[in-house]
This record gives sequence, structure tokens and C-alpha cells, in this order.
Amino acid sequence: MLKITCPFCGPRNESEFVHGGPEKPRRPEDPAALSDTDWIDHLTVPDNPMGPVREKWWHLRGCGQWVTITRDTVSHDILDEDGHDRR
Amino acid sequence: MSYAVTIRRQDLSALVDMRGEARQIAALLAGLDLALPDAPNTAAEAGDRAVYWLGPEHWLLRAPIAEEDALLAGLHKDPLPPEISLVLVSDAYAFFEISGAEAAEVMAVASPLDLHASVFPAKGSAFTEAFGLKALVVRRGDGFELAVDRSLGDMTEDYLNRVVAF
Ligand SMILES: [Zn+2]
Repeated sequence: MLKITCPFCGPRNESEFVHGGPEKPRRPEDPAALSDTDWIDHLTVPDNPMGPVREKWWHLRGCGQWVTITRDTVSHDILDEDGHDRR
Repeated sequence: MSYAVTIRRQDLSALVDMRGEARQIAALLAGLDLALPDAPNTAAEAGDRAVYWLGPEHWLLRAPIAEEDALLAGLHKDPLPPEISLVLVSDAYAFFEISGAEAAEVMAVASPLDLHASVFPAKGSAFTEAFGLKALVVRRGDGFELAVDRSLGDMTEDYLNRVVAF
């Protein structure tokens, strides 16, 4: 179980949140300028790294806002902005 | 075994869900001689009326049901600023009182919220989870109040009674 810190509510149980998935790369400014391979890559190939991932969580059973955290997909540690374990 | 706790399902409260800029909500509440709470997830109380700060730009105004008309009249402003939302939700929630020496023990079964006084103070009020449902928890002098969607009130009452008499 994760303990996720909401900026409004403070540390709360993972079960209060809905996972909103990883932050997606920005949409290219001019998709028409991309090769088909790069465009398809942007649209359909998600990153799935082992290690820190920036991701969204929705505090549905709480204050209702979206929270962005960095979570290590291997250790489950939630990291601060500098990549340090927050515990 | 059972916990030294009294569970009581309350009658309806007058409830107004308020969203928008703090400045504009505060101006409306001033008409009722009410102020916004100072800190997130706390309440501001005046007599038998309370304002809970439950989310960014989100408050819940609560009063006895007999005062519903007075609340609405007090909040009325024509025109209402278009950026804010006031919704009468009196019939949307079922409130329970969990009072007594072991109220915190029952709450600990119901909800993962940290209810220690250092985290959830005297005027604490927050949305959290209870029995897997979205729930409002409010601290009161002799225990807590718990509110869930009213359609889930019977189920929550049953759960609470099962916790008390385990
Ligand atoms: Zn929150």
C-alpha cells in the first residue's frame, strides 16, 4: 500500500486515490512534420520504464484534485522532486 | 465483546455545496455572519452552523434542517457570480454520530484516515474513505460524525453496528 501525499489533504492511503497513469510526453507541435514511425510511436507506444515515473493520481475519495508524484516502479518508493526517497 | 460507543443516525441537515474562489464564497457567507475556515480540512463554526473546507475551492455549509430556507435566503444574491456554484445537497448525505470512549476504535475499522489529534485536530473535517465508500468525517467533542451518500446509509448503518458488536 502506498501513502500518497496530497498537497491539500496531506498523506493519505492509496485506496483513496484512483491511478491516472503516467504523465504522457507532450504532443508534438507539428505532427505532420514527423515520420510515420515517430507519430505512431507517440500515439501508441507507451514508455514503461523500470525506475522513477512521473504519474497522476486522482484524490477521488478526498479533496477531488489531481496529484502528480514520482514513483519508482521497482521499489514503489515515492520520490521527491530531486529523486530522493521521501521516507 | 463490544466497543463502548453509541451509533446514532441523524435526521437530515441543511447542506449547501459551495465551489469557487474563496473571496467570492467568503463574501456570500458574510451575509450569514459565517467565515471560511483557516486551514484545509477543518471547520469554521458559528452556533449550530458550520462550514467545512473539503477541497481546493470547495466548501460544505451545514445547519439544522429547519434553517434550510434561512440559509438559502441568506446566500441569495442576484445575480450570483458565474464563477461560483451553490448546490443544495441536504438530501444527498446520511450522517452518523459515533460517540463514546472508543469512538476512535470504531473509526479505525471504518476508515484509513489518520485521526490522531496532531493530524486531525479539534475542528477536523475531511473527505476520506469509510468501508470503501467516499465519506465525510468530522470530529466532534465526544467522537466523530461520518457522512456517506444517503443511498448507502442503510448499508453503512449495518456496517457500523457490526463493528460495534463484533
Ligand atoms: Zn486531497
